Amino acid sequence: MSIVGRLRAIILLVYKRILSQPGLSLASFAGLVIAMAITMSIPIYTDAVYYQTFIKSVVEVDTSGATLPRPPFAFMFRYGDGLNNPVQLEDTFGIDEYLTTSLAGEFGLPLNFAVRHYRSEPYPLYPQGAAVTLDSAAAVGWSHVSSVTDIEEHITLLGGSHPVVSAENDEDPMEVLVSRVLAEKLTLTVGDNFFLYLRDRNSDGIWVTISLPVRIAGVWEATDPADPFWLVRPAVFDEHLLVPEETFIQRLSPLIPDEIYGVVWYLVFDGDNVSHSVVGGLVERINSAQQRTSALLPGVRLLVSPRDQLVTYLRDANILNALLFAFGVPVIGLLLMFIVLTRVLALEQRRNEIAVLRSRGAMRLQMIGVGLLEELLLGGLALLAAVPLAVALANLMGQTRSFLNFGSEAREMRVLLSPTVLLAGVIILLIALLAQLVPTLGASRHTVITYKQERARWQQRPLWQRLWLDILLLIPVAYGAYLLRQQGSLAVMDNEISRNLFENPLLFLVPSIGLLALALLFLRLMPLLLGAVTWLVAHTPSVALLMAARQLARTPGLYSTPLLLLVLTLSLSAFTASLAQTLDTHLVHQSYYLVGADLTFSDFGEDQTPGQEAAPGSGPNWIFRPVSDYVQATGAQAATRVGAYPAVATLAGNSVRGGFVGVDRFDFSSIAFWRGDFAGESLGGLMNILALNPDGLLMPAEFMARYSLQLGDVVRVVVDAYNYRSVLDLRIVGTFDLFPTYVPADGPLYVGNLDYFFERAGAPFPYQVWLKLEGDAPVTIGAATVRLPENRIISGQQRPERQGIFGMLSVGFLAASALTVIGFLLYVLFSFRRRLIEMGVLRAVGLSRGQMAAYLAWELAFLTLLGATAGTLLGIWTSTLFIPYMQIDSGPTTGIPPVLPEIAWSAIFRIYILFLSLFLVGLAGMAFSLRRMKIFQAIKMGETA
Amino acid sequence: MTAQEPFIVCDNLVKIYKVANLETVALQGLDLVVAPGELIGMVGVSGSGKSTLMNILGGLDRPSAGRVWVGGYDLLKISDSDLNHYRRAMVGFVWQQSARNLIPYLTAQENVELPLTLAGTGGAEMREWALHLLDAVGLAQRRRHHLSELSGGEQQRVSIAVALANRPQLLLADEPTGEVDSETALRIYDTFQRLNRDMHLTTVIVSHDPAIARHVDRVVAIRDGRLAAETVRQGRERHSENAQDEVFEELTVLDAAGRLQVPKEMLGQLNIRGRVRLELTEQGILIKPVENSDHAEGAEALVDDLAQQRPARGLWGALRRLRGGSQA
Repeated sequence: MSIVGRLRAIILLVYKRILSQPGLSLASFAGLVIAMAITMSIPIYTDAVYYQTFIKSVVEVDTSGATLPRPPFAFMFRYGDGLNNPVQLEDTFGIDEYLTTSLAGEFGLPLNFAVRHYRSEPYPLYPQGAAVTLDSAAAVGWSHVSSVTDIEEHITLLGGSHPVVSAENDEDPMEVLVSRVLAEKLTLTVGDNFFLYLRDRNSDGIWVTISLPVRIAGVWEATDPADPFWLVRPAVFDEHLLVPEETFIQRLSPLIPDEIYGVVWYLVFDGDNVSHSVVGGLVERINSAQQRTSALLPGVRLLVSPRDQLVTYLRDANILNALLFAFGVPVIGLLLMFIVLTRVLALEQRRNEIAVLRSRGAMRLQMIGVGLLEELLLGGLALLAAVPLAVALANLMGQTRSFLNFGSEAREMRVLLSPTVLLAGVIILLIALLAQLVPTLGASRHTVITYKQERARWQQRPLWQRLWLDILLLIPVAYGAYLLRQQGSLAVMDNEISRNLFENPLLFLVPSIGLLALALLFLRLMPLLLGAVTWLVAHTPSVALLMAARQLARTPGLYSTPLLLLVLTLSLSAFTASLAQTLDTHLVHQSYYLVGADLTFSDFGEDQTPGQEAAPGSGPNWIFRPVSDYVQATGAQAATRVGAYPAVATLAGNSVRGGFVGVDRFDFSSIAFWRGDFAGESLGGLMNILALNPDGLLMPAEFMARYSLQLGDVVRVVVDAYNYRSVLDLRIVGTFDLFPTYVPADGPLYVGNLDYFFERAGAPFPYQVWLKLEGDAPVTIGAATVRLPENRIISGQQRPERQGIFGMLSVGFLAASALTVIGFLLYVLFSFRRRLIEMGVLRAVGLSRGQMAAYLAWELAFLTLLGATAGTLLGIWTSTLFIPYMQIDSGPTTGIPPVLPEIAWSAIFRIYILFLSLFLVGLAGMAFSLRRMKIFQAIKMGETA
Repeated sequence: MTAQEPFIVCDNLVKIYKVANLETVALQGLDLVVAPGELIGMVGVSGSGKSTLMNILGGLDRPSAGRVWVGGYDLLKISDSDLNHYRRAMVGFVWQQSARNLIPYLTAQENVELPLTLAGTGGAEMREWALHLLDAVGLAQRRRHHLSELSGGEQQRVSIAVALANRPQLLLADEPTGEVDSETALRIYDTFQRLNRDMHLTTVIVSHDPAIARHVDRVVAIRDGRLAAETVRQGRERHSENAQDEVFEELTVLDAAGRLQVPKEMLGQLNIRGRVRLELTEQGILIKPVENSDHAEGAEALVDDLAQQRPARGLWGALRRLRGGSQA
C-alpha cells in the first residue's frame, strides 16, 4: 500500500479523533494559541520598542550634527578630502567593486540605492582667454570637478541642459553644471566658456599643467533638499562643477596623475526587516566590512553607519527580553501546565481507544505517531492563529499604562515576525508535543485487557502522590525563597544585575513551582478535608449534599486535574494582579518619596548680599516671601519650608558626607509624604521631639549603628549652604529608617530644625517650599522649577521595561482568566460525561431529577468554593513571599522605599464574579443536559462513556 | 477429533495474577486441544478462568507457566514484536462490550478499515474487503452509520467484521451475545457459523448461554481454572431440521495426570467430602463416599481455620491478644 494512502487514513483518523472531543480539542487549541501568542508577543514587543528607539537615536545623532536626517541604514565610506593623499581612479576600483557588489549580500540587507561621488582637487577657474598667474588673481573662483551618480534625477535645472558626456581627446569644452548659489556668486550664465587650470605632480615628481576648457551647460538646484538621496547637504556641492561620471573618468582622469582627491560611497539599505536576532551578526559584519575596505584602500573611513546605535539596540533589547521572560515565567509556566493538563485529560479519554487499537495489533509506534500527528495538526493550526494574536498582544503591551489599563498612547510599532518570534512559538509546540508523547508512551503499552486490569487497580494514588512530588518540589522552592531573602532582589534593570539574572534564571521559576507544589499539596490534603465535611453533612437531611461530599471525598483522582487547573489559574491571577498593583503603588510611593510632597520647588528669594566675595562676618542676605503667600496664591492646602543642603558630620571621629535637611516641624508632618514603615515613630512624633529640642537631630538608624552612636550623643554637623559654612552641634534625639528624599547611597541624612539652623547661620538661605495640594487643582508657581511626583510617575510608566512588564502581567492575567473559564467548563463537561452511567443508575434507583440536580450542583459548588479558596490563599501567600523581590527599578533608589506587597483584592473579586457566573452557566448547562438525558441510553452506553 | 495437526494446544497452562501481595491462580494446569476450523463454545461460571484463557489465546496476556501453541506460535516465549504481528495477523476478537471492539466516533466502515490501515493495507482493496465483511455480517446498508446510530446487535456484528478485517485464522469471541436479546443472539451465532464454514476459521466462543451447544461443534466447560467437561453432539449434524431431536452428551475430562473434576452437585447429593473410595467395576470406576471420616473437611477448610488462629503481630496483634485474653 502506498505511504500516501496510509498517511491519508491516519490523518483521517486524527481528524475524526480531534472532532470526536470537540470541547477538549478546542480547549487544548485555545491553550496552545494563548501560550504561543504570549510567548511570541514578548520578542515582538521588545523588538518593536527598541527598533523604534534605535531609529530615533540614529536620526537624533545626525540632526545634532547639523546634517540631513539620513535613513537609519545609511552607510558612508569616504576617502581623501585632504585627510589622505589623492589617489588614482584605478586605486579605487577594488573597493568600489566590493562596496557596490558584495556588501549588500554580506549584510543580508536589500540595497535601496547607492551613490558614488568622485571629486578632484579644487582648481582655479579662469574666464576664457584670461592669463594664468601664480596668485590666480584672474581666476573667478576655485572649484572641484565632481561627479555624483544619479544626481540628475534629484535636481531641477533652472536653465540650460544636462551636460553632454565628453571623451578623452575631445576638442570641445567639458560641459559642467553649477548650482544656483555658485552661479549667482560667480555670475555665471549658461553657455559661458571658462577654462580650468589643472596642476599636479606626476609620478616622476614633475609638475604638469593643463588648461581644460569648460562650458556651463546648466544651473541646478536640489529638487528636495530633504531627499534621502543627499549624501551630504546639497550646499556642499555649491563649490563643485558637476560633470557626469563618464566625463570624470574619460575626460578628466587621464589628464591628472592623482585625479581622485576625494571619493564617497553612500549606500542606503532597507533595514525594515532587521530584528534584534540579526543585529549581533550585522554589527559583526559592519566591523568586518570596515576592515575589508581599509585593506582595499588604506585610509578609507566609515563615516556614517548605524553601528553604535545597533549595539545599544541589541543590548537594551536583550535585557528587556530577559526581563519580560523572567516576569512572564509564571504565566508561561501556567500556560504550559494548562496544555499538559488538557493533554492528560484528553488522553484519559483516549486510553481505551489506544488499547483497542493495540489489541488489534497496531504497533506502539503507530499509536505514538497518531498522537504526535494530532498534536502537530493542532499545534500547527494554533501557530497560525497565534501569530496575529501575538501581534495584537504586542500592540496591546505598547499601549499599557498600568495594570489592565491600556490607555496609553499607542506606540508606533513595527511588527516583525523574526526567527526568534517563530522559535518562541515552536518551543511551545515542542513542549505540547512532549506533553502528548509521554502519556501516550505509557498508554500505548496497554492492550484492552491490561488496560482494564490497570483501571481496576485505579484506587492507587496518582504517581505524583506516590513519589511525594509535591513535598519534593517544595524543597527547591524553600531554598529559592531563602536565596532571595539573602540576595534581596530578583530583577534589576542594570547591566551588572541582569548578568546575575542570567546566572540564576531558575530563581524566576520559584514562584511558579511554589504554586504548583502547594496546589498539589492541597490536592493531597483535600480528601481529608472533604472527609471531615462529609462527616459534618452526614447529620443534615440532604441526600444530595451528602452524596456530593462523599463523592468528592472518595474519588479525588477523578477531578484532581480540573481542580488543579482552577487552583493554579486563580492563584496565578491573584499573584499577577498583586504583583502589578504592588509595582504600581511602589512607583507612586517612590515618586512621592523622592520628591517629598505633592509639589516642591526652590524659593531663591531675592539675593541682597553685598558684593561677590563674602567677607568674613558679613553673612548672606536673602529676602523671602512667607510660605503662606504660596498657599494663598496657589490654592494649595498647606505649605512648608524645607532647607536641604550638603553637610559633613563628624561621626565617631570620621567625617561623613551627607545632607542636612532643616524642617519646620509644625507643618512638615502634614505635608510631607510619609509611610508608617519609615521610622519607629510617626512623623508627628518625630516632629514633636524636634520641637522639644531646638538643637535636636534625627538620624538614620543604619548610620547610627555603623558609627556606634546613641540617642543623646552630640554630633557636629557642618552645613554648606550656598558656600556659607555653618557649624552646628546637634544632639541626636530620634532615628528613622527612611525620610522623604533620603537615599542611603548618597550618605546619611541629618534632619534638624530649619529655624535653629538659620539662627545659627545668622541668616536664612534659599530653601525649598513643599506644598500639599487640594485634589488635582492645577498649580502655577511663577517661574520656579516645579517638581511634581506626577511627572516622575508618568515618565516611569512610559519606560519600555515597565510598560512591557505591565503589559505582560496584564496579558498574563487576562490569559489566566480565560484559561480559568476554559478549565472550569472542561471540568463541568467531564464530570458530567464521566458520570453518565452513574447518573443513569441513580435515576434508575429512584433519585428524582431535582435530587440529581442538587447533587451535581452541590458537587460543583464544593469544588468551586474549594478551588477559589485554595487558589486565593496560595496566590496571596506567594505574593507576600516573592513580590518584595521582584523589582524593575535601577540605581541607588532601588527598593526605596521598600516594596510592600499589596493584594489586589479588586482583581481577585473580579475573578470571583467570573467564577460565580461560570458556576451558574455550568449549572444551567447541567440542568439542560439532565433534562435531555435518557436513562436507558446512559446505561446502555456502558463503557463507551 | 481428526488426525489433523491441532491448531490450539494448551498443556498444563497456568496463569497467576498478582495484585499487591495477593496471588490469584486463574488457570491451574489447563489442557485443551482444538483442531483447525473447529467451532468451539466455552462455558463456565464467572471467575472460572474462561476470559483469562481467551486473553492468552489472543496474545493480550501472557501465561505464567505451561505451554500454549496457537497456529505455530509459542505464546509463552514469543517476543513483543512477534506478539504484535500475531495479534495483527492471526487473531480477531469480539468482546461483549462494544467499547472494547470499536472506536465510537468512526462509522461502521471506518471501524472495519482502521485495522487494515494500521496493518498497511489500503486503497480499493481495503475498501472492497471492508464492504465484503460488512456484507458478510449483513450490515452493508448501514456502513455509513456511526456507532451510536446502530443497535447493540448491529454494533456486535460490526465488531465481528472488525475482528475479521485482517483475515485472522482464529476468531475469539468473549460473550458476544451477552448484551443482546435472544433473537439477535441467534443472528450472531448464525453469523459465526457461516463465517466458520466459509472462511475455515477456528472459532472460540465464550458464553453463558446454556443453549450454545446447539450452535457449535463442541462445548468445553471450565471450572476452577481447569477443563472440567466437554459436551459433544451425538451423531446428528448441527443444522438439524429439528432442534428438539438433537442429543448432547456431557463428558467429564480426565487430564494427563489422571485427575478429574467431579461436579459439585453430585458430591453434594452423596455428601462426599475429603476422601472417597474407588471401586473398579465391570462398567467402569465407581466413586463411593467414605463414612465417618475424621478429616472430612479437606485441606481448604483446614487452612481457613488455621488462618483464623494465626497470631497477629504488632500493635494490632497485641490489642487483639489483649482483647482475646480478657474475653478468655
